[in-house]
Amino acid sequence: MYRLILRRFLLAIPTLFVVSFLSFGIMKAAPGDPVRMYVAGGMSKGSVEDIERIRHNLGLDRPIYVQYIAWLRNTLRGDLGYSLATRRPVAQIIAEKLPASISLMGISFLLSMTIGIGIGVLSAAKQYSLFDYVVTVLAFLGNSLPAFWIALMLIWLFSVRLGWLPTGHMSSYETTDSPILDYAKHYVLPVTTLSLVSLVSWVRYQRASMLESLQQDYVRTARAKGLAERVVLIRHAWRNSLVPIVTLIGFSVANLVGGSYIIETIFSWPGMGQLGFDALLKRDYPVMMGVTLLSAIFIIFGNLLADLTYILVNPQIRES
Amino acid sequence: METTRSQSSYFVLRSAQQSLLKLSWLRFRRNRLAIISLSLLVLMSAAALLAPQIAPYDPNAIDLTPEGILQPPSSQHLFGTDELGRDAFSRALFGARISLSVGFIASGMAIVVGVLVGATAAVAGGWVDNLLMRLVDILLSVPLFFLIMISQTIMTPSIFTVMAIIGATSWMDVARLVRGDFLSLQSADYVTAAVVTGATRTRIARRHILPNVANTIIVAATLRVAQAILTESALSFVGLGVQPPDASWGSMLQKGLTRLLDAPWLVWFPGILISITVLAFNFVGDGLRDALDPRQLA
Repeated sequence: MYRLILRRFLLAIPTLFVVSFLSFGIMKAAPGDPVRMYVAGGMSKGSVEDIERIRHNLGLDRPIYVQYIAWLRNTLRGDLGYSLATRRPVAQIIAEKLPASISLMGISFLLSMTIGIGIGVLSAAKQYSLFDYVVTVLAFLGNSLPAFWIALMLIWLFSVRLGWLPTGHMSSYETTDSPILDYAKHYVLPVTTLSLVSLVSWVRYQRASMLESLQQDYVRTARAKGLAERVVLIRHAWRNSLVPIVTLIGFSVANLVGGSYIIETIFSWPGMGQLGFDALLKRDYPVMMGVTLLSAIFIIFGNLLADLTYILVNPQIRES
Repeated sequence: METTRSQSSYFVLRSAQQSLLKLSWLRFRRNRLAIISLSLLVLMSAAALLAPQIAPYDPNAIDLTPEGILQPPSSQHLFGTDELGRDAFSRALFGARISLSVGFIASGMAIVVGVLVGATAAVAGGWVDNLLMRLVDILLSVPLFFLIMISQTIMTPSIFTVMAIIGATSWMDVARLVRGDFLSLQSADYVTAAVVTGATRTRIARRHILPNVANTIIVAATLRVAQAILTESALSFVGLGVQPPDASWGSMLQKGLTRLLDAPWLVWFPGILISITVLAFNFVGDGLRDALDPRQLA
């Protein structure tokens, strides 16, 4: 068991390397001169000498592998460089944006997991009922509708037509609501949209896995013993159905990170996704790389969490 | 003599294959949702192909008169008109060409790469298998959508880069599926029989295993098209996909976003079209999975 856990940890290292290679390589292949952007951003004009001097100071005239190693060494020390647009440390900018993103993703993750598992169990327990039918149809819909379009429709309905909820941002400048209520109102739509993305997979997997475990002999035995149906469903069927679906944790985290770029941008959410997207449009390479790297760490962490939970809930592996 | 014999066995095989196909088709036909979806997709593809013939207006014809711009849906303009007075229905017809072709071509690429990688890993085994599958693991934990967006900012986005990038980033699960199927079929009796006759490993993979993995590949391809259409629409929605003057459903949504207050129909229809198309591909994929499952032959 410990060897398996160790192996999973070790696999995360090459993944991080590949991510760093990919993002570094893509940035270097990019057209457009970051030094010129840097100069044009502050001064009205830069002379050729100025540009060459800045290029030399930034180390951009050295061979690519030297630049990569230098970048990697700094990154490992937590120094992600400076934003070309605002000239502030990237690590600091990202740190400011993290709470908004983590709270949004965390709430969405917990909501989609608990609601998804609940719906999945109920729908399997009442297979072929009207509820089950509606859930199956909605799951198909949720799998097919673009999340960003759902976001647009929610904004159109609840903000534009009904005026109940704000169209975006995390809080209002002026409001009569208490600060907590104001925050809550701003969270509703982004959380709903982001949750929907992974809710569907939780429902589908939990339903399928629960249906399978309901057919097992131990469930029949439990029923034959005369146990209450609730006990059979929860203690015997559900607990065993959880083993295969905990792997969804990793998938779900990847989904949330991937979805956050567009969803945060649509809702003007002051988080990492929007930061990354803005940096992309401004070609602010250090920020782009910082965001890519951090997103990758999130996803890798999600996968690790999934693997560890899988080992913990699966007695066959735990005891080997 | 030799040719006659192989020809006759060819016919036997062929009729057996035909009856298998026929059985699958009969099973598929019983699935009402799948049949409706398939008809819808055929209809939509035909409409996309014939867009120049059936579009009621020139998709780029501008009408800036007050009676022309931002008209709500009506019998003249089924989907209304945009801020330049262009007919949204005609634009959606032409958009279908781009959305569908990106979906088909990108998923085609993903399937080719996925099958090659998956089959190579399974057939070669050993360290090749290990290396390729670790690569798949690693690529699956990379923030792909962000990398796609980055690549698009760097490569002057066009329809072709969209197809190539979506194809290049979505083959991993196909590779896993194909490898799994290959591995389980490699221990089948008919494969052992082929080994005994002295067939080479590539020949066995190509002639004996691949045809039996076709079911998995067809289903995966159908579901991939749905995913590719979704990815393309998201990319185009943020302005990193198809570029003007080309317009896909996703880029129509991007334009519509600015008009959410006074012309919400510009956001309704392209989104509904994307949803229906993706839904239909998912239903067809599911129907195919059930119909092609040889265990249900009896």
